[in-house]
Amino acid sequence: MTPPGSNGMVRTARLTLRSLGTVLLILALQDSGAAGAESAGGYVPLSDDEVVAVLPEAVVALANQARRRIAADNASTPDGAVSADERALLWQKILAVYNLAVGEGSPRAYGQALALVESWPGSDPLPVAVRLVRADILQHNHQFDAALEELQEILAVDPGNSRALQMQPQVSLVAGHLDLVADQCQQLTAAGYAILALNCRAQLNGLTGNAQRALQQVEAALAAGRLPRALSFELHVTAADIARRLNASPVAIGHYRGALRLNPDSRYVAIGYAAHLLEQGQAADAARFLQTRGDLDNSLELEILRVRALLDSGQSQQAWPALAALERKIQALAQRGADQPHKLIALYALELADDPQQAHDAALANWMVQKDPSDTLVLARSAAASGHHSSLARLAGWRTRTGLQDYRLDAILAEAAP
Amino acid sequence: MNTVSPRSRRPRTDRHFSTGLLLMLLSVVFAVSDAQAHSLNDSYLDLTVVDASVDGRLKVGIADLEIAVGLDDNGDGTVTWGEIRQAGERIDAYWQAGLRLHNGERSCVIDGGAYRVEQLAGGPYLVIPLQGSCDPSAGALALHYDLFFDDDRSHRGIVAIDRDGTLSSHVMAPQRRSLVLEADAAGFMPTLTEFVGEGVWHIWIGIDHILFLVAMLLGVVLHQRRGGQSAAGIWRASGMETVKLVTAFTLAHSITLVLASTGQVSLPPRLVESAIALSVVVSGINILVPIFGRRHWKIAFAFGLVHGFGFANVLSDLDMPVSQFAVSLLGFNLGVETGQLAIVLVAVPLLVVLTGKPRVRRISSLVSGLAIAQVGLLWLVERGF
Repeated sequence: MTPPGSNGMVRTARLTLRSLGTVLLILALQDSGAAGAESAGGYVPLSDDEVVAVLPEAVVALANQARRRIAADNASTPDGAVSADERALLWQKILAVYNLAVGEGSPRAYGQALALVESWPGSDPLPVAVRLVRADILQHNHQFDAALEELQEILAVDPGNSRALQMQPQVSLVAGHLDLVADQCQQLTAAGYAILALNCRAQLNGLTGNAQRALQQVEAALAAGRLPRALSFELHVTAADIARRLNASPVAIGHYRGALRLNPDSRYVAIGYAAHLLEQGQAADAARFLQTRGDLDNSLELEILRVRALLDSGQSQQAWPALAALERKIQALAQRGADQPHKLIALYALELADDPQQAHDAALANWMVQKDPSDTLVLARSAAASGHHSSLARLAGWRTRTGLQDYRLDAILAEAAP
Repeated sequence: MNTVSPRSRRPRTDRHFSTGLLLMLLSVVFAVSDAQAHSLNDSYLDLTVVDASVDGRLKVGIADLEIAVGLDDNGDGTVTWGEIRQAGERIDAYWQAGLRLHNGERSCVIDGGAYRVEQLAGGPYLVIPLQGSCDPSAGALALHYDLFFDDDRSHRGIVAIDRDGTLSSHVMAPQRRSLVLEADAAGFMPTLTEFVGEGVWHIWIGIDHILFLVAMLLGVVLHQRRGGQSAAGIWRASGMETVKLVTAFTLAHSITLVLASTGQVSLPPRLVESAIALSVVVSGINILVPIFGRRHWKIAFAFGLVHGFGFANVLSDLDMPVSQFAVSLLGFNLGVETGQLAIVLVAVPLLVVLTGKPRVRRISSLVSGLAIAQVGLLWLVERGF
């Protein structure tokens, strides 16, 4: 934690470093052509032996997949007919690439998985398993309504499909379709998934004015007996998120740690835990926690939190090169137009770039699509910082309509109230 | 590609695919993908077109090329300059098949120059200089970009074009592989059409707006009936009053819609929604007891200001393109007016006819006045308290 009384010095140092970082960044950008437009840039390697790229593991795996696919395509029946074996093989490829996408968080792998799904022979009905993959990719790409439609179609064919039943409320919750969730939780109950249904209802209650009760129910379920690891993990995450919004920090930390014990690789939990430590002024703890993770390269959100933690804990020497690299990536991502990751850009602009206006614009664009409490909070913070009262009024309306309990949102809205 | 808020989980497999089942069961236990990575898999195409000559650069990720054409011949997980040079024919064949410029029906001739390597934010890229010529007399210049999409639906081609000194940028995607490089229409008509539709849809599903409007129209007709005019006089007077009322309502809600949408004025949604409910209550009471007299259009103007804030709240929930804010706003407002006009054209003749017989008039005004006022009151309580 930052020692009391040194905040002013730290802030000054941070601002100085940011300014220096920005100057260096501009020079770096001019040199590298990261914006991809104007730079003549580049070099000709001196020898054939010079290594110009070290391929990430996910790329090696994808390239191997692609080679096997080409070989299989060449060996397939020439008349275009697709045999059962070929369909099974295609499914194996989809599954392999999809697992890689999920495991590595690789957008290339997600893109390749979708390409493979779309290559399924048009004359065949898409198997439920393939449709589930497609639904998850649609969710990943923020096409929530399309994902929900896909899931509903899956359930029309296979009403007891547990995965589709689980995914439905998750997609609805993040898309802000809270009115759909109660029924979707009920479908889980009807299908006999009692704990999943309990978790589903707790997530909904946690967002609609019954957070305390939801937390109690989840904790009671955790205390009641030995649950499968996956279910315990889900319940810990739900409890941690609710406790965090209720400003019950020790409870939240306990559940985040419980979740991480069960699934240390969960980036969702790592992000939540690190962000919570930062909110609580425990920047050094957050930095230490994030340093232990090997997946920072796979998540810019974790990287943003790490740089923030380094800056807040006075480790600026380590922070600024990472900050410069982050800015290059964010600038490159921003060129994607409508496909840019608005939430990341908002977080970066808010946490590291001192640009509340850009943060607000990106956060608002993000909130139009997803309305998880973290999305709402980013918008509230950036709107307050940039003086966008209309956005704050909109969030106040959202809070009234949903009953969302979040002490951080309450504080922002109370401060902004006339 | 994007940061997704929920804890996304891995789907289970179909029971018919046994190999996948084991993997999926494992995946349910360890749901590891909860936030997405953002390593970049975009290409960059910069083109300068002056008269007939084309000059530019294509920058493609070496990782993407490895997946598409295979560069790492010895399979050691690295790519050397020698491996790239050896794969030159494959690389050239690949980009030339996927990247084409046309003038009308005629293809431009584009040649690639000597490769370079550049380190960008997304990793090492291969830079391919481009040079060529087009026949400007052959028709509109068009770009076809089809690199990597077949392997990777998340790939994007970031295109920057300098056409005779006019700069433009574009994002090529699996759903958008072609681009006509003429004057930038910037999607004006599609945006306008989309938001006109949104406006029409909103007024039609906005039962509070409809109730207010219908109640006001009924108030106008009843007021004319009470004047004891002839049948022709009723039609004429009701028509005139309707025009005044609708014009005042339209003008008022347009004013506040613009003010609220541009952030000039902001009111708490709860206050706005409650005031809209109040307008329904009052207009319902006016059917029972004529309290507006000849001031229908003035009342419509006053409450129209409030309804405009309500429209703005809806508009703010739509994904309005920032670059086409004015077009979106105009479209939405036009849509609201169109939808409103349709309601008026149906409602007014119907109301005039229905109120023709005194007995029917008494019953219908009593029932509708009570119903509208009661519904408005319920909304008022629900929204205000």
